[in-house]
Amino acid sequence: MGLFNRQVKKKTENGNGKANGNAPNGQDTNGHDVPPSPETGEGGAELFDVKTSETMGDRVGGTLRDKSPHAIKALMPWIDKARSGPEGRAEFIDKTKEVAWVQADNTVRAISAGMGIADTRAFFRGDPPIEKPNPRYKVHVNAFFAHLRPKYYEKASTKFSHTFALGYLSIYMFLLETITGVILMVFYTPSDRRAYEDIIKIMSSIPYGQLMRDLHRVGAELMVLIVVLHMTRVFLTGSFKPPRSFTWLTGVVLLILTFALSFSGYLLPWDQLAYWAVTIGTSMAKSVPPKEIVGYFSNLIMRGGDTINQNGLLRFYLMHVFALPAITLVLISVHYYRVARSHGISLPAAEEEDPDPAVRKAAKERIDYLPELFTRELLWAAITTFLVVVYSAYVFHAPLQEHSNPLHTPLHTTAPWYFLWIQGLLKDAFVLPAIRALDQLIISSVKYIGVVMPPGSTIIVPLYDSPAWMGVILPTMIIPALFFGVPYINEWWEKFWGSKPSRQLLKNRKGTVVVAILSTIFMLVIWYQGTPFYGVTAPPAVEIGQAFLPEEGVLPPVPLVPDDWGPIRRLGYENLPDGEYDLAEYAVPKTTYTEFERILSAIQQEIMRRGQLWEEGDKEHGLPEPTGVFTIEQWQQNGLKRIELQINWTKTTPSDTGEFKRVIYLQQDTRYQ
Amino acid sequence: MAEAQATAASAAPAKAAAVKPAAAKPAAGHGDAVNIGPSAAELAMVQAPMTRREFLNYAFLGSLGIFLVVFGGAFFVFALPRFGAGEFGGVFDLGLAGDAIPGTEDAPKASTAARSWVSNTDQGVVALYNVCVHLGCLYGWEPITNRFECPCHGSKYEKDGTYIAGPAPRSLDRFVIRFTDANGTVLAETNAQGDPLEIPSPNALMIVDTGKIIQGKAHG
Repeated sequence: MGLFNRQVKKKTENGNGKANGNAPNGQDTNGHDVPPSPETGEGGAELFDVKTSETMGDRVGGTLRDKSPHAIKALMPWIDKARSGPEGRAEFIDKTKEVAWVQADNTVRAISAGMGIADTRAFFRGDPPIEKPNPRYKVHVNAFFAHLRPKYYEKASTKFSHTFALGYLSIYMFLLETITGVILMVFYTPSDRRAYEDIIKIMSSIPYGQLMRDLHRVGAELMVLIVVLHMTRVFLTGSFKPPRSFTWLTGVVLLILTFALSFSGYLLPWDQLAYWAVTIGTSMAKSVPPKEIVGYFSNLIMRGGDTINQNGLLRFYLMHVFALPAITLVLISVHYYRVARSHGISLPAAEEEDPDPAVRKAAKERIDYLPELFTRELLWAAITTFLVVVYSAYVFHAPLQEHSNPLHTPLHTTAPWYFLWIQGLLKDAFVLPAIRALDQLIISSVKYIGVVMPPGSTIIVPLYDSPAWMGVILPTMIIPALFFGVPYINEWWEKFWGSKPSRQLLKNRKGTVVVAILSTIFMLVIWYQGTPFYGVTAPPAVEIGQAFLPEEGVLPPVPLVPDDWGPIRRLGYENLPDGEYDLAEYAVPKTTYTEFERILSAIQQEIMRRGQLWEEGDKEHGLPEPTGVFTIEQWQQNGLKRIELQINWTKTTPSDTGEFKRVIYLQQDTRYQ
Repeated sequence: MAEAQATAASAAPAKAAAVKPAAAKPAAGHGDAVNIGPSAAELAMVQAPMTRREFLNYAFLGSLGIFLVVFGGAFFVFALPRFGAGEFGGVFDLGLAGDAIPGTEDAPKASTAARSWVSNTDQGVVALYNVCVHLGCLYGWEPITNRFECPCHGSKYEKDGTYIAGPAPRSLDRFVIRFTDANGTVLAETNAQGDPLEIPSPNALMIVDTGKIIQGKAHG
């Protein structure tokens, strides 16, 4: 009734009605003229003179009139008119249209949070707004999600080639991860007994389960990639400079959170890849100085025990699905608030710093968020969704290795690809050799002053804690300390040299370009050192086994980097005929060989090469008189094959077994072994 | 957007910024403005004595801070893992020395329960903690090269756990070994340096104390 009362008052102010809160007639929402009712004369006051002689019918009619919806009430005076003749009917129809319009328009205004019917159409047609002031701005005030977005952007800042929509896509990936993650949670139990089974179930018997898992995985890796690219873009366009310093800082926190989100999800499938990658990750925490206190306890708190077990899985699960997303959401809000409300997206530096005021003015021309940029964003979301779904459905499948085994570390265990650079640092290819060389230099030079140190003695090396420096201190310096500092270091640098604070990369920031290229090269080098191809050598027979029948997929098949399941796995169940093959028979490659026989031949070539190396005196990589047997047999049930490569050689030491066996199992119906 | 913000706040500075963009931009909200010091009113406020309300407010805020710190401490204690009896960290009886210990020429023996490799050399017996001292992977015995090798980052160790190569910072960690006779009398025990232990008798019981880890020597 409140609404009606207000309208009554409004009418009263116009002087055309009585100050009677319950007067049912004589009003109209838009203040249209109301003809005097033929029955009641002017106004509706007489309705309240309830006469005892009134019939029941009259009273019911009066009540109906009283309680009718406002639109019907507004029409009532015309109903009687319509009875009077064709002219009245025409008038009634016109009036009905008028009232219906008002009703429909108000409804659309309510739904669109500010725009009427005409303006809604103009919105979709791409026409300029009709009402003044711009009702689209009203939407920004009324509607929660629209209020998060700015009313307009500066035109040059919306150029695709300036931002590549990377910030927007980061948020998109966060949403994608949230949605697919919640769907996966339906079937996943964070228990060391059930987790692996649940993942198998999701992949094999839940409709769209595999797609959801693949989407979640692709989204996670793309999110890392996009956030890193976003940061690179901001660095190259100089958009971290004041007044955006603090925004950059929150962005660095978000980068770390993205890594943490991705890494915490790594353990959940509970396969060998997950288990040992996270063991390495948490062991790094063990080296945080002072490691007797901070390192020891942070490792214990994360793992929930001395090794990763049920406790650790549950802790990582809770971090992954609750704590980290919550913190990330808060940080995203802070980050986005700065962009949307304080300083906006930076303009392309060349246009912002152009000497021609016309160019500067054109760059700052306004472009409304509704509907132009909104449409553009929806288009981006649609294209990305399409690409990600196609990629997950046809190209990429999230890897799943064997069930985690706390008693066996597979050879060539790697961190996720975005942490390979830390793994590369951990192999310590630069600093440790340098310190060793320095030690040798000191030892050999003190000889000349008469101090003779026993062979193999050390000076600096014992003081150097490689995991702490390479796993914790250096990455911390590279990511937070250095990245946090970028805007402030830059500012100090400009003041120091008295140079003009400019954002143009090639014109005013040549030093930046050099630093960026050098650090990219450095990152690529240590990234390469993190892969299994660098620094991890195994005994020769193991190397042969690893090359053809790797224990697990060595590298997870990340986008653009090929998987490494070994040629036998890639050949697939169907193309592996049962039998025992003496590899010596395949010593000479023949053109008539099948694909399978060609692989057998390749294994034999490699075995012979190792034998050759031994004869040449390379005891490190060679094998004495090696022979190989390759066996494929059905195992236990239909659809499972046991594949064994056995390499024998002459024993060289008493503890030498002279034998190496590598066994893998292949299933018929799955892409996963 | 910067312009829009300025317009919302006050029209005049926005116009000034538009007239001379080059001068106004860096100065906007940033350190380049000439420091003229606090005004008289500001100075009076900064130097004013503390009122009771101000003191109470600070005390209140401080107590909230203390609460958060205490809460964080409680969370830490809550989240610390508990170790049960009979789990790793306790004492493991590996049986008769003659059975548990391999020959000096043989490959070391793994004991999964005690998470150790029992390795015998001419110097004596050591029980090595089976976790790589680099980053917690499980290293394995490689009979071909006659040494321990870590599959993750390629650290290599001798049969007695001495560091050979790779990024590991020290030699392998060792557990304390005790040899006892049937009555439980200790015949021999690993010393504080963790040196290899001579086997007193093949009929002695071999006990590995996983609660006592002796760190390997830092290498050169």
